[in-house]
Order: sequence, then structure tokens, then C-alpha cells
Amino acid sequence: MWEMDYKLIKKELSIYDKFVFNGNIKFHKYKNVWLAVSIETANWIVLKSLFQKRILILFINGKNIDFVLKKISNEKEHSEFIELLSIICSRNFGYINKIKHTKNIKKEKKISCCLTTSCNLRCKHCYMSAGNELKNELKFEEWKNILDQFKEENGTHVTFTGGEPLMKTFFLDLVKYAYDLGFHVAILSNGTLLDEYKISFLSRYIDKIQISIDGFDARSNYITRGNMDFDKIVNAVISFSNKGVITYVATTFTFENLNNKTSIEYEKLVNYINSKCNNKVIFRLTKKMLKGRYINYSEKENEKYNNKILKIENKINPNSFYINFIRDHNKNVVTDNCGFGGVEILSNGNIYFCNRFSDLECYGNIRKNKLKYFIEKGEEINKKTSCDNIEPCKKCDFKYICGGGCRIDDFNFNGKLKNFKKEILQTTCNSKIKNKLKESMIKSFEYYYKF
Amino acid sequence: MKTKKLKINWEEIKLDKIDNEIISMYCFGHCHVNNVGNGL
Repeated sequence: MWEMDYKLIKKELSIYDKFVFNGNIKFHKYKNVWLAVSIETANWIVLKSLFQKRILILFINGKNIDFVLKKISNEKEHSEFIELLSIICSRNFGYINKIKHTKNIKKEKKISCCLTTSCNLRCKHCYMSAGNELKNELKFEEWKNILDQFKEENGTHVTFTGGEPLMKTFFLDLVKYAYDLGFHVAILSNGTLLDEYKISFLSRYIDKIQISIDGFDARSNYITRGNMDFDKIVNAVISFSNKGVITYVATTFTFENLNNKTSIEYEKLVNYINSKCNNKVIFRLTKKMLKGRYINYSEKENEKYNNKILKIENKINPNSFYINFIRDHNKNVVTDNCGFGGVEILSNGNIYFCNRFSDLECYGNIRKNKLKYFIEKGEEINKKTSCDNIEPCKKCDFKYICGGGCRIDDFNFNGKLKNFKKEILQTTCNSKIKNKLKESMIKSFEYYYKF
Repeated sequence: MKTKKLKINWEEIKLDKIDNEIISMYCFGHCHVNNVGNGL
């Protein structure tokens, strides 16, 4: 079982202090607690009693601590009051006497470059059915030109992916070129074409790498990927991590290599890799299978699949869902979209606004228009599909915490906006999903903080 | 004038430990709302 370490935070307040709150605050009763949600700042706290709610309302109405203290009549109320002060301060839900910042949206500007659809593997679930390269793939000079343009647009992050990006002979040089321009570089690879030289070279120029391991051992990985380089790939993960690169292992199981032993065996793999690494390795499990080369799960099958994957997560850490949830919701950071509108460049120069190329429409080609044109188009689409502009999300108190879900799977335009004339609607939200969200907010809060 | 002070404290998980966690993936790790939102 994974034990978490907690740190103690101490703070001193003056009785003449007042709290200032950034957003409109709404209360939602859920089971035996109150959720106080600051809509515009995507922040929330969990109150244990009606008394705490009443006190918070006094603070919202501008009363200072001294005023509230005089209303307290017994010890129980006093301890609930002190707890409330800690709760407010812990998540910067309210600031002392003045507002520190307003609406805060992540400022990273990213592009993703699919360098080739060529791949040395033929994984059964590959959502791109990667294998052979496309006709007329972009050349080294063209990619360099794209990165130059991205620099002019104040870009910050570049992801190189494929297919398998290492199939391109210019790959290492392109990574260095991106680094020299000052970008944060991330790469996604199957790991099979890496050797010590390439690992050492890349480690100098990349921030992050994600390597796919689709099983818990060589045989189980072979079932999905048809490749026996398991040990080599595991060693590549360890090498990158120990060279200071933030390293992710992405694992997509299929029904063929999921069995009763999977969670125990996968835990062994996680523990083995972590025992060999001085730095952190992050394991990502696919929870929903997209249509792939030979795999196309029905909704019902995907539900079953999801449950099996959750069992693996649960075995390794029963609280992982809640830890992820609160980590993905930084204090006062707004999520108003799933990321739809981000520029994805396919190897032939075609532009998409999400990496699920086969589910989307192409918005043009980088050989015909400047990158600036597509960045602006993407921003326009991102805004158009933002929670602020769609029904029923725009009226929801939780919109910036939820983000609205996937613009392909959860919306009536299914990721295709070009000839879409109707009003954009989120179609999958219901009370069950909202309650799940509330529960995640409460449980993650209660797990993360101790008052 | 001496101001009356109130001392408060709480505990929270050390962030540096969190990254050791296993995390969930949606949309192959590209998705900006990794593991959040609905439908997951």
C-alpha cells in the first residue's frame, strides 16, 4: 500500500483580518457536507457543518475575524471556526485583506508534431494504424521552418510523436534544434529504437519522454505489441529517469493480456522500475480504448475495460484517482476546454485540432498557410467550444473544474465543426456524472488536506 | 496597539511525493484534462 507523506503548514492571522474572495461562491450540499465552489476561479473547499457555512457567508459579506469570533458561543463552535480558517487558507480560497490574482488560465503554448506515420511495430490497438509513412512527409528543413515560426508566435512547448519518431533520420537533430530555440521538448516513443548513445543525446535536450509498455512482462507486452524488446525498453525508461528526464510509462492493456494476475504483476513492474530510479517515473494507464488497427471496443466493452483498469490502479494505490484529481486542479487555475483547438501537425503537413486524426477534419496544410494562421484558427475554435460558450455548461457552477469533457465524445458536433450549423451542445452530462464530480472534489480534498 | 493573533495550522500531502503515483490516462496523455471532466 502506498503511504503518503504530509507536511505541516502554520499560519498566523490577525483578528482584524478580512477575507477577500475572487469569484462568486455557490454552495452545494452533498451527502453530509457542503461544497463551497468559487465559480470563476475553479476552486472549492469542503465544509463539515451548517455552522461553517454560516461563518463563511459572514466572511463573504465582508465581516472580519473579530466580528465572527464574538458570535461564537461554545468550544465546539470555536474549534469548527478555527478549522474553517485553515480550510480557507489551505486552498487560497480566500485571501487576507486583498485579492492576489484574478482568473488564471495555463499560459503554456503548445504544438504537437507527428513526424511520421512510419513505425517498426504494428500494435493491435494503434489508433493511428501506424506502419508505413505517408506520401510527401515533411522534410527536416520544413520542420525547422515550422519551429522557427512557432518561436515567433511565442510558443513554449513542442511534442514530437509519430508513428515512431525515431524512424526519422533527422529526429535527433530536430530535437536539438527545438531545444536551441528554447522550447520545452517532450517526445513519445515506443522505445525499441533507442540505444545508450541516443538516450544520452536526447536526455540533454528533452524535458519529458513517454515510452509505451503494454504489458507487465515480455510475453504480455508481446501479445499487444508483437515485439520482444521488453527488457531493453524497461532499461530505456530507467536510463532516462536517472538522467533527469521526466519519464512516463504509458500502458494500454487489451482484453487479450488482462487477467486475474495483471494487477499483481503490473504492480511488480511499477515497483521494479521505481526501485531502479532515483527520479520519478509516472505510470499512465489507458482507461478508454479508442478505435485502433484491429481493436474496436463497443461502449459496453469499454465500460468493462475501464473497470478492469480501475482495479489495477486500485491495487497499486486505492487513492490514486483522488490524488490525480486534486493534482490536476491547481488552486485557482481554470479549465475551460479539454484542449480542443491545440495545433497538431500530421507528418504530411495536414493540420488538426486534436491528435485523434481519424475522428477529425483537416483544417489545411502547413505548406500552404503560415503556422500563425492555424494557431489563430485553433484559438478561435477553442474559444467557440469553451465552457463559457456552450450549453448547458455555461450555466454550471462546476464548469471550470470539469472543463466539459471530450469535444469528440461528449458533444453533438463530435469534433467536426466545419459545416456544423446547430448550437453546440454538451450531450453526455447528467446528474450521475455531476455527483461523481462532487464526490471526487470532496474525497480528493479530504485526502489531500488534514485539519 | 498590539494586535490579537490567531494561530492556525493544517497538513497537506507533500507534492514531490505525488509524482511517484500511478496516474490515469485519457486520450493517450495528450488530453489537457487528463483524468478529469466527465465521461471518464
